[in-house]
Amino acid sequence: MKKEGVILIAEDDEGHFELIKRSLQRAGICNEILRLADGQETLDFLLIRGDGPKREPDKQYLLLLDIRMPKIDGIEVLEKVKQDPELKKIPVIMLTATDDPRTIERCHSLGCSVYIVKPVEYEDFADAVRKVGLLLSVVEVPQISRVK
Amino acid sequence: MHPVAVFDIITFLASLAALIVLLKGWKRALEPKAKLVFTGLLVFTMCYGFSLFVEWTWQTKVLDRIEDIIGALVPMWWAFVIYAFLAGIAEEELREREARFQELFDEAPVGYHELDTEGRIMRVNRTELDMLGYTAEEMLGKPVWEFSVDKEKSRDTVADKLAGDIPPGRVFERTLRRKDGNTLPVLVGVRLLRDKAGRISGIRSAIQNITERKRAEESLAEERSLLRTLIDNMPDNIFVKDIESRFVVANIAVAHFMGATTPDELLGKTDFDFYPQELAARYYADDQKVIQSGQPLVSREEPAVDAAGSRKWYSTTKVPLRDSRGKIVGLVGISRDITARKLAEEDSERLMQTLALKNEELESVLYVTSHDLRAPLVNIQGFSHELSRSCDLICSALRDKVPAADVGEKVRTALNKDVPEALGFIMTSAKRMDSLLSGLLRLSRLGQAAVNIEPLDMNAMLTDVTKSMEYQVKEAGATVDIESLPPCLGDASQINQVFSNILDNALKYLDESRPGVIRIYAKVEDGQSIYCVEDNGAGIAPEHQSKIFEIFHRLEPDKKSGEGLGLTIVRHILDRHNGKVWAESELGKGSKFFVSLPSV
Repeated sequence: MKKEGVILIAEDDEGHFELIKRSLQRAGICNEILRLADGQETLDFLLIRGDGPKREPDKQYLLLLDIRMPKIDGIEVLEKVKQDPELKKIPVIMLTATDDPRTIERCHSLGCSVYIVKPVEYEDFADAVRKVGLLLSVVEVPQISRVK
Repeated sequence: MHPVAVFDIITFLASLAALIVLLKGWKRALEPKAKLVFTGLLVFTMCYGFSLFVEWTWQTKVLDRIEDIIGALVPMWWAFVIYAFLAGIAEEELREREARFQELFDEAPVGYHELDTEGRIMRVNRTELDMLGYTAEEMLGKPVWEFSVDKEKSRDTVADKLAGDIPPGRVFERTLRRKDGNTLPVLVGVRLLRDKAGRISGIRSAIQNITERKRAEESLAEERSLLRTLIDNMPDNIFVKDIESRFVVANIAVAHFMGATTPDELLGKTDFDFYPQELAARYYADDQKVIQSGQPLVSREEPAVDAAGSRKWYSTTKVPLRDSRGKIVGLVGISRDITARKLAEEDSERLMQTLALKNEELESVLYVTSHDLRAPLVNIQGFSHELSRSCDLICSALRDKVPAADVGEKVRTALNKDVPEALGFIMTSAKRMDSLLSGLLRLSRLGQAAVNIEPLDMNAMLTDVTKSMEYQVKEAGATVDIESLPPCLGDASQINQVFSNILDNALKYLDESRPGVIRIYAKVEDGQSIYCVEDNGAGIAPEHQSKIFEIFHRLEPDKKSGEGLGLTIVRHILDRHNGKVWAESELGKGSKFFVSLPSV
């Protein structure tokens, strides 16, 4: 992933966001990291609407998506993103506390790229995020030129 | 001998014969006038005979003149002899006829008696004597009502009959008294006797013993009364309808239900006279189906409206009614009020729905709670680590840059001991909390998982379970013996979990002072396969036994690992299988865990 690529973290819990961000940075990721506080904000950002920050065309994005979020939950965000002919190119990594097999199954069938369960144990958690970081450093992310 | 003498002798002998005939049939053979003449002639004959005797013996003619007179009378005399002879034959015939009649009279299948105008018995046949047990002497001449139970009534009837008030051909029922004191029900047919002038001269009665008939009637009446009482006191609606669906029989329950005062009010009417058109049409269709097909309608649950208009539920059975030739002549119906049951069913259904809803709610609460509670835990743990990291950073910075003396003793203690210790507690608790929450999550998922019941080969399953725990078995230095196990019905993965948990417990709580022996065996009882996992481990104290299935209950939380959920999950799974789990244990000797599941 190129340095100018932006890592979007859709996470309602500020603490989680902070921990994820730190872990990623410790893993050597120095891309821009942007927090989106809930599903609504995430969709608004991606679909370039509303008052908040907006996606810039021609930039690379990667989305780390939590499931349980206020207003619109992560599954719905995933669904919307994967239905959009352009947005569906964005790699989506589910990073969530839910380890329910049915949820995992559903997310994969909707088209998520990776599904990672947030371990509660800090070391495990940090390790998991570090691995995500390592993954991010080698994956190639497509460009999104336009919005439907 | 002189011809005259022969003639005389013949005349005499004939007169003797006539005498014999006369004596024999005196009473009835001749009419009174003839009897008088005949008697005179007889006396004359005797005299003539005597004269003949005298003349013959002593050879003297004593009564010449008389003889002449007699001689003149001889032809007349002959005429009488012939008459008497013929009368004798007639008399014989008459007596024969009389005897035959008497025989008929006596041996008639009915009793006969004849009364005079005073009501006294003048004649009675043997049948009647046998019937009542009297001799003829005991009955003859007595008023007939003496032999009746209700004397007054009998006397009145006889008087009425004799007065000609009672039309001919009438029969009466009477009860007679036998000589032995028993009563005898009879049917009396009466015929008036009239003399030549047409005056009533008496009564002839034919008596028929109707004991058998009475008995049959009574038993029939008893049977009817029994049936009626039974039908009327049944709380169910009972009715019989003809092929046109008209009521032929109805009991009190059905009458009251349909708003009639007595069952009789229903007779001849149909459901259309009582129920709303739609309902009546439905019942009529059912009736006709049973009548036309000959197939009974059994326990049909149907709505009904009673006389007061309240809605009810009835379970109705209609069976075709056939006559002695097997032809369907209607139907018999029994209808039971099941309103209470229906309401209870509806209630319980509603309750079940509420329960299912609550259960669902609880599960989702459990799931959401355990899930959402984990999120803050991540922070607690994560930032504790961050803090501890910062602490280390501060410590090393201080160590490198600042002389020890410049850092206060208290700050050093805080940085080196207090803060790490506090963070240690926070992290341990968070870890523990996480383990509890993941346990809860597992439990809640169990409730959401589908149960696929299938026959299970328990020998294969227990072998698998044991194999997957081989490491723990070896670690504990235990042996596991599996006897031949019967199959059962259950969900393979869940039942596997049950035995894994039980076996895990058995291995966890072995007594270290002796080699662990775990035995698994089973029996089939009342359609249930009952499996037992028996160990020779530490055992459970009686006061703890009731708590071992409670959620998060752990016997030795400090020594043994686990969440205290193993047996809770076991019980939860068995509840969903309609199975059971229970334990028997003795402290210091070992435990037996029983699992009962429906057998194949």
